[in-house]
This record gives sequence, C-alpha cells and structure tokens, in this order.
Amino acid sequence: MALLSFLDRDRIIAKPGFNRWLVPPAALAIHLCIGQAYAFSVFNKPLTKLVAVSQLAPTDTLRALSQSKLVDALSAAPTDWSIPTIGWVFSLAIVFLGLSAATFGAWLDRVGPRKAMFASALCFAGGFFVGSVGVYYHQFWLLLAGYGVLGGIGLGLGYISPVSTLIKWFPDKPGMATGLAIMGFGGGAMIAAPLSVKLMEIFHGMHHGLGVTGTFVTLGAIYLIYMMFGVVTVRVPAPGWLPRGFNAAKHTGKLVASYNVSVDDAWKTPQFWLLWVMLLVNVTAGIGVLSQASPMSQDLFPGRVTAVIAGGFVGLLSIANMAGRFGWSSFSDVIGRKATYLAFFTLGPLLYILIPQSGRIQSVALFVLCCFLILTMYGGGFATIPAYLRDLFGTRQVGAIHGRLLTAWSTAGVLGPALVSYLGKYQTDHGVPKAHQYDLTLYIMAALLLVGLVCDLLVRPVDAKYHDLDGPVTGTMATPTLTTEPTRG
Amino acid sequence: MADDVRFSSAASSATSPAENSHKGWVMLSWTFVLVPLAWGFTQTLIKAAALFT
Repeated sequence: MALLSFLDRDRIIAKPGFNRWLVPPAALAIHLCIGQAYAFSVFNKPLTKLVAVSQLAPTDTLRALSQSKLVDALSAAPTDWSIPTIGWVFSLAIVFLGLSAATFGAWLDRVGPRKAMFASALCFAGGFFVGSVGVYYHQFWLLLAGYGVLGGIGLGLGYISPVSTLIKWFPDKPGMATGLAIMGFGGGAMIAAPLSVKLMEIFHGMHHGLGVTGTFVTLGAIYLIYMMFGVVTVRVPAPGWLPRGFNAAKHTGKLVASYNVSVDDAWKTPQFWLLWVMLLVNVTAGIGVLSQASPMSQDLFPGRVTAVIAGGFVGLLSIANMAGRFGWSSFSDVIGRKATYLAFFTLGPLLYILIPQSGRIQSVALFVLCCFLILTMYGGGFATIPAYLRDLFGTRQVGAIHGRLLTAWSTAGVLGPALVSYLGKYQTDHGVPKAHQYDLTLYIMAALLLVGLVCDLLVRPVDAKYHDLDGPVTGTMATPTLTTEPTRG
Repeated sequence: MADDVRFSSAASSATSPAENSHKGWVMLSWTFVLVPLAWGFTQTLIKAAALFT
C-alpha cells in the first residue's frame, strides 16, 4: 500500500520551482497511446482471416508474402469473424470511453490525475493483453471484454485525466493547453497504424493469428511503459497558484465563469445540454466524412482517384484532424469559445454542401480542401470543448463535467456510422448513381451542423442558482483571496 | 463575439522564473513525446503524398 501512496493527490502537488511545461508532455504521453483506438481498423482484415490462416501451414512461401498480400490472398473461412462483427469491438470501446469518463470523472477530480492515469494505463494495456488471448483462442467475447470493455474504460479514464490539470496549469491559455493533449489523441492513430502493420509483419509466421496476437501483446507492453512516463511526470498546481503576470481581469467576459458549478448541478443546466448537442452533431457530421472518405473520393472521381490515392487522402485527413485539435483550440483563446463554434457551424455546412458540387465540376482540389477543413473542425470541436466547459462552469470540477459530456461522443460513435450506413443503403436501394449516393448524407450532416449553430447561439452564462458557494475557487477565478504572486509551484 | 473572452498577447506570453527552470527535463520530456509523433506524422505524410503524385 505504501507503493500505491505514490499515486495520491497530495504526493503530486508541485513544489516551488516546478516548470509547468513539463505537464503537457505527461498529458501527451497518455493521449498518444490511447489515440491508438482510431487505428484499430488496421486489424480488421487480419481478424477476419484467423481461422482460414490457421488451416494453412506456415510455409516459407507464405512467410515470404507480405502481410497485406497474404491477407488479401486468403478467403475467410465460414467460421471466421466478419467485418461488421469486428466493428463492434471499436464501437464498444467508444461506448465504454464515454461511460467510464462520465462515471469516473468525479473520482478523478477527487484523487487527482496520477491515480487516474495509472488506472487508465492498467486498463488500456490490460485490454490488449486480454484481447490477445481472445484472438489466440478465437473467442470473440474475450476480444470484446478485453479491448472493448477494459480497453474502453482505459480510454475514458486516460482521455479526461490530464484535461482539468492542464486547464489549472494554463489559466492564461486553456484552449492551447487542452488542444495540445487532445492533439495527441489524433496523433496516436498516426503512430499506431504504421507501428501495428510493422509489428504484424514481424510476428506473422512466428505463431498463428497473422501476427495479431503478438502485436496486441507488444502494443500492450509498449503502451503500459509509455503511459507510466505520464504517471510519473504529472503534477497538480498548489492551491491558489497562478502564473506570474497573470491578470485574471484580462481573462474575464460574460461567458467566462468567475464561479464554480458542481458536476451534479452542471448537468441540470441548459448550457450543459447545449454543449452536449453541439459535440454530438459535430462528431456525427465528422464521422459522416471520415467513414466514407476513401470510397467517396473514388466514386466522385472515377478513374482519377485510385485506391492507393484514396489511402493517401485518408492519411491527409488524419493530419487535418490532428492539426485542427491544436490549431482551433489555440485560436479559441484569441477569439473565444462561442465564436470558434460559430465558425464550425457556419463554415461547416457550406463545406458539406460544396463536396457534391466538387464532384459535379470534377475538382479534386476543391474536394480535398473541403474535406481537409471539415476534419480540422471535427478535431477542433473535441479539443475546444473542455475550455468551453471551463468558461461556463469554472475549473473546480471541469474534469468530471467533461467526462459526462463525453457521452455525446459515445452516442455519436454509434449514431454516426449507423446513420451513414442506413442512408447509403437507402440510396443504393433507390437506384441512385454512385457519384450521387453521398449527396443526401452530406446534406443531412450540414443540417445537423445548423442545429449545432442554434445551440451555440443559445449559450448564455449559467444561472446564479447553480453557482457553487462551497469550496475554494481555483484556477482563473478572479477573487481577492487569490494572488498572482506565488509564481513558483 | 463581444460577450466572449479575449486574451491579450501580453498575458499569454507571461513567463515566470519557474518556467525557465528544469530546462533539461522539459526538453527531454518534449523529445520523448515528439519523436514518436514526428515518426507517425512522417509515415502518414508519405502515404498522403500519393494524393499529389
């Protein structure tokens, strides 16, 4: 138990002289790992060929084949898992991300980020280990329980654990600080996708499972160690700490709280639900482009965009997603949160409407530009929401409130793909030409963003009856009890 | 948005002696996270280059 006391909140209060710029790398270490979730699709094909490949002898010829060629060459055995079945693993992980973030948010605010990061690392890496057993024995329920449930809990805990800490360390630039961490979530997929492919190439042939089992175990071990760097490095500021030269008066406005709202009160406010809907529509609309980016680019520009080029296009979109997370959230420190979302919800619908037009005039450049900007706003929506919550509800329980808001992401994670798939089938059933099959989906996504626009316009400061009068006011709260002098901390 | 927050550049660039401490650790920490990120970014960029070739 003495060892576990290392995780206690009072052990991580920063000592005088601590440099706050050590905290973003701690946050990034967590988010770069859990961002792997977005790259789970690299396992889709291998996971659908496990039974088929186990029936083949691992001959030298087969070993010589590259991973992708071998996977492509094989036909799935009747008892193999299908792609829609595998899709449930990712969906379940996203559902548990939201559920765990909502459930453990208040616990995180109480025990501090180190314990939550530690639990996240154990769950996320544990998810890989349990999942690898499921892959090895071809037991789908174990893969679901491992990566989907345990890993999903690790995702949720890891996602919210550094956010409120960063907001408290950077009251002068909360958007930039949270953007840095959440950018890591986008970047994590960029690392995990090529890393997983290389690991599968290494482990393929060593034992059965097309290298997926070995890759899962290795990834689990790497992520466990890497996340421990964040666990060891993270610190919380001492009570009342503010950066030198910080003038709270310069950072106030009608929509910047000089009070705190408790998590239990926050979700009774209309502001919470307005932001919930805004996140929901922004994520759902983003999924509408992300999930069909590759086929859409090939269908809109037949003969000009091949499967290889479409792969490059998807890569470009992941760069946009990551860049938007840092760029838009940092920009929100300058123009404000409400204005940032107004930009998303006014520019966004125009871009969605322009995509079908780009197909009609056969302009690949316009198509790429529209999708790129849409994906920056998709990422930006994720990264700016914690700072918006901090503006509306104060810093004291922003982690817990953010956790509850992430149920919108879980909802979108299920709703978005279902909507896209249903609309696609509807268009096909009604004989719509391939080049126009995406139009209806894109117009509906544009309409959803307009709902977000209305919500953003309705956001007002939280009613005084919800203001928490108990407990100390921390972070950017401009109260006479705080001083900007204790700059070290 | 008139009713929203704006940050002055002066406040944003506020530094303190503490921000200049442990520079070695800060650089090491950032290197630890940025190197894998740069690797992933490069891999993705190489893939994305297919779009322009």
